[in-house]
This record gives sequence, structure tokens and C-alpha cells, in this order.
Amino acid sequence: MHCEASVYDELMNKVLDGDATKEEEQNFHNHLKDCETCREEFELLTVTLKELQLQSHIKAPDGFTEAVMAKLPKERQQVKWMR
Amino acid sequence: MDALIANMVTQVKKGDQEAFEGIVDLFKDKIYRHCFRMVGNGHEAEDLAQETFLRAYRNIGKYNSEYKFSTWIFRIATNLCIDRLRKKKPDYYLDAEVPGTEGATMYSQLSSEEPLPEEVVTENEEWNELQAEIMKLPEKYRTAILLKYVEDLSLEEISKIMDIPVPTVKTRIHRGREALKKVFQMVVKTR
Repeated sequence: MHCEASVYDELMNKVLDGDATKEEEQNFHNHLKDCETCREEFELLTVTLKELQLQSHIKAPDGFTEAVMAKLPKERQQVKWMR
Repeated sequence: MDALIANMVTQVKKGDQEAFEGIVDLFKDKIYRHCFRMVGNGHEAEDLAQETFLRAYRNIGKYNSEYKFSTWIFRIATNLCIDRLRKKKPDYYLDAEVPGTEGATMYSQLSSEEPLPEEVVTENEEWNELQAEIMKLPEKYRTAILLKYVEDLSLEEISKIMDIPVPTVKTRIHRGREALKKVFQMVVKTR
């Protein structure tokens, strides 16, 4: 890591968590303009996290519900007293 | 939605199996996806997701409706996945010395002609590079990152699912991001 300012690591976490104040965010983005290392890291992370968020295309396989229902224990039998 | 789920749960608690079908339909994609991302393969994910619903059904009496049903079922799924991951941890490592070979490691046993296991799996459509990176994260960071980013859950919900305090959830997300960053830097450098 070339950037000695580990303070920006903490700030990056704050920004990614959405916990940074406007001023902190501004401060961080100003730093990114000057620091290639932090800029690359930040871009890498935001791209990765965005990609993770686009995962909704993964769906349970066909017949999943039926397979689960078939494995359920048999319904409790109501005991009816014959009179 | 919450009222609908609460109603279905009440029916299931009364012994109505058909109501459970509605619950499975509502949550199957989320649970399957979570299991898939946790263990990294479709067959095991299907198995674990089914087991999640079977456990939920058997233990429905223990579900406390003060909590969100989704939190409860995610917790079952997460615990099952972590159990599975722990059971299949390899008992050898690639850089371990092969007995009786004077310094030869498992790496040197791999023929350079053969694709590495990771390369084989990336050919599989569902197994993209990102999944390979996720699999490199230690499970506690992996769980936190997946719940936060793939499932978009709040820190409070993740805290309940993982049974750890909110500040610990935050730390794990931070460490998980750090680990992802390092892994990706290595990938970029080797290109």
C-alpha cells in the first residue's frame, strides 16, 4: 500500500457504510483525486459490492417447493373416536 | 406482506401444511441464493435450502412472532451453511509437504497442464469470478458481507441472524471488505 494515510481506510469504511458526514465525504473524495492507490481500492470495492447487489437472478431450481412439501412429516392424524 | 406471513405462520402452527407451501414459495429464492453464495455450489445449496425449510417446519412452534420471520429463517439457513462448511474443511493444504518426498508440496504434485480447480469451476456459468473470491473469505466475514450486500438486510437484522452485537457486525463487514479488496488486488496483479 503506497498511501500512508491509514486514516483514509477508516474514512472509506465510513463512506461505504453511509455513516460519513458531508464534510467527511468531501474530504475523502478530495483525497481520491490525489491518491491513485485509494482511488483504485475504492473503485474496486464499489464495483465488487455493486456486482454483489445484482445477484437477484439466482433462483431456486424448478420443483423446489414440491420437493420440500414431499419431505414434510405426514400431517398429524386427527384421531376420531368411533362410537 | 408481514401480515400475510404472520397469517401463514399461524395456519402452519395450527397444523395446516398447505399454508407452509406459501411460505416456501415466498422465501425459496432468497434462501437458495444465500446458501448458494455461502457454499458455492448449486447441489449443496439446494440440499441446504430444503433442509432449512424442513427445520423451519419442524420448529415452527419455537418461532417467536416478535421477530421478523425472514430473520428467523435466514438464521436457520446461515447456521446450516456454516455447519456444512466446517465439516468439509480440507484436512490437507496445497502448501503442505507431501510425506516422504523431501520438500515436495501439494503444489508441485499438480500438473501444470491441468487447470487448477478454480479454473474448472469458473467455466461453469453460475460460478463466476466473484463467487470464487467470496469463497476465499473466512465464513464469518462471508456471512456478514452476503447478508448486507446480496440480501440488503439491516445491521440489526444481521445482528439477530448471526447472534452477535451490531458493532461486531460492522467490524465483520469492514474486515470482509478489506479481505475482498486484498483478494481482488492479487487477481488484478496476476493478469
